[in-house]
Amino acid sequence: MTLTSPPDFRAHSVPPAPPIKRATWEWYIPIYFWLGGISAGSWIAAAAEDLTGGRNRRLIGTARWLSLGTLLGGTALLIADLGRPERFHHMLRIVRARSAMSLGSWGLTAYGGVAGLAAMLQAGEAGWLGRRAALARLSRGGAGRAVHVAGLPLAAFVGSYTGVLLASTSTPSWEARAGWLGPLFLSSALSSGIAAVALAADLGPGLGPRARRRLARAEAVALAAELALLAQAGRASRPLPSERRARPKLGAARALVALAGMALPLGLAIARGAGRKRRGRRRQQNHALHLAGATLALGGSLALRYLVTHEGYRSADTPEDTWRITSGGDGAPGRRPVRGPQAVEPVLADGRLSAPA
Amino acid sequence: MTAPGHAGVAHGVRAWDRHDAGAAEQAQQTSGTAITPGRAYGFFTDTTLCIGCKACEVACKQWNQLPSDGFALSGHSYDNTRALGATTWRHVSFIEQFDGERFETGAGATEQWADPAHRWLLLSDVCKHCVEAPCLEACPTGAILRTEFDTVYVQQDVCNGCGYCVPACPFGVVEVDRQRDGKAHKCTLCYDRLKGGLEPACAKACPTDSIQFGPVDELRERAKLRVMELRGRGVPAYLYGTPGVLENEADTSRLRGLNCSFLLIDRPEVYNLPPEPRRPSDNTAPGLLASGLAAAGLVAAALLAFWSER
Repeated sequence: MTLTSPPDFRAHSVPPAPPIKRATWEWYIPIYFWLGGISAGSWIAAAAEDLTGGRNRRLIGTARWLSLGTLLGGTALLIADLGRPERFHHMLRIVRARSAMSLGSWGLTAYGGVAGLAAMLQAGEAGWLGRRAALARLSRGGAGRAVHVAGLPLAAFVGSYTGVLLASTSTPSWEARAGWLGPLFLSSALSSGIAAVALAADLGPGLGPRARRRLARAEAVALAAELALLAQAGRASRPLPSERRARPKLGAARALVALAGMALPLGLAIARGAGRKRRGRRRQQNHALHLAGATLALGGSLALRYLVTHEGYRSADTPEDTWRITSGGDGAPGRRPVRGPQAVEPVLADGRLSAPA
Repeated sequence: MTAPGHAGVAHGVRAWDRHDAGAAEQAQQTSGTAITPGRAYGFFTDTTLCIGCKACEVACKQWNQLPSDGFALSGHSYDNTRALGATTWRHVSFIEQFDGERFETGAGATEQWADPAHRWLLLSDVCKHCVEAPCLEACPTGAILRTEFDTVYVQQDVCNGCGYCVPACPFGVVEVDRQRDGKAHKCTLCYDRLKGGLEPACAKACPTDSIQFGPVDELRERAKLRVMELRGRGVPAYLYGTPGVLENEADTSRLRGLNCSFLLIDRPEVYNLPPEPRRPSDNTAPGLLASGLAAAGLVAAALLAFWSER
């Protein structure tokens, strides 16, 4: 006895609605992913500058303000996306280790506290809380450093949990590369955060060549990691049916993001990071490259978030993607072989179901 | 004017109290089971008995006072409902399987209605009330909880409409109603009726007993008997939602089974059900671990990069 439906049994005379639902986030949720990433990345930049003894106060101050500002902006977007924004605080009713959204809410809250503390120190350093030398000393000294260190794990969490949040859904395209989205988003957070600091700090009197080179080197590291992780995430599963169907457009979009948003700024960052003792016209050009590279990296990071989100939506709307992920034989790595005779006694002499060929 | 109104209300309350004892026994009379808090309740939907009358859809809408979805014809068979959603908690799927050539020869199973060359498959879909429910695990507010009847329930006074339960559900059941109240909605397994000793509206309305309500363990025994009976008649029946029990074409063990199980006679995909539904929250801890490792590497590399050009 077999299940003798027609060979093209998936081709209904009537196409069904997709078996799963896509996330119904507003268009600005990928912007939140991006802003949260910039916040986390600029925090890491501030901490790195402080801890390695660079002591460029302009860089650190800019990064501190950026991390708080983008965090507040992103949180506002998150709240605006709720069906009932006035109930945003219900997020803090419970802690649930299996809910990436719950962990993220708590992580954002804790990180917001640390970012606020750093901003207060910075305000003291800038003299906004009265001209007291003690405040500035606190901000430049051990207290500032302690806050930076305490915020590092929180920033890393805020930069990466959004990827884990996507992976912890039934959306095939996100589930298929579950382990890679967190690291990918984190590397993107670092590259965009450093780029934002580089851009913002250079708007005024400028950072100086050494601080610029520091940023460029860290930027190069982040972009290289981002490129490698993007390639790895792509290899993590064979192309889903939705991806095969959209291959020319999707491939072009992916290539554009990888080239213009990662590879090109990577090349610029390497050029900037390696350069020493440039003067005059060369230095002017170098500055222009600096700004161009940072802008490209920021754009690439935003495009990456939109691309990943869009791929997920398409994949949720494509039933074949769900069948691939949830049926034996192929799909995501690590699945158990399930099809075929199970541990069920034959109910009748000929009662066993044989698996279809 | 107020006095008669008050008297009316008071009278109504007293009438309700009087009938309460009778209501508590109703499930015993209509589904052969008493409803006791602490026991697991669910549905067993035998798709071979469904005639596509949609009485379950109507009963559900009426009892739960769900708004109409409009009167548009979808053009998709007799299915104008199309999918479960925030205001549709029961949905009858119409699956047409007609193979012209084989229809002529009439080859197939011993039971004519089960001949895959020409048959209707009908399935009244509903929230599965998973044993390990992904929507509940995803919910960051605690709005989704497990009731004393082991069902999965969305507390409307807590839900803030974050919508994370929607992509978490492996069956596309729960939905946020962004047009109306901005909150997540799905089948409650008629929690209010269970509290009052009544079986859920859909099961009570089903004229063929395709939808059966009862304690999950009792339903499972009934389902096994039905599968054996059908197999004896040459119909390749199996269960969906009962891990390790005659679940030949499916495996719901990642969710540790479904309180609302189904009897199917074709592959799960044909009914728009995932053969091996996954538990999305299984990806959270490994994802965070991978992110932690990546964070350690990236932060160390960033520190090194800054240090190299002090």
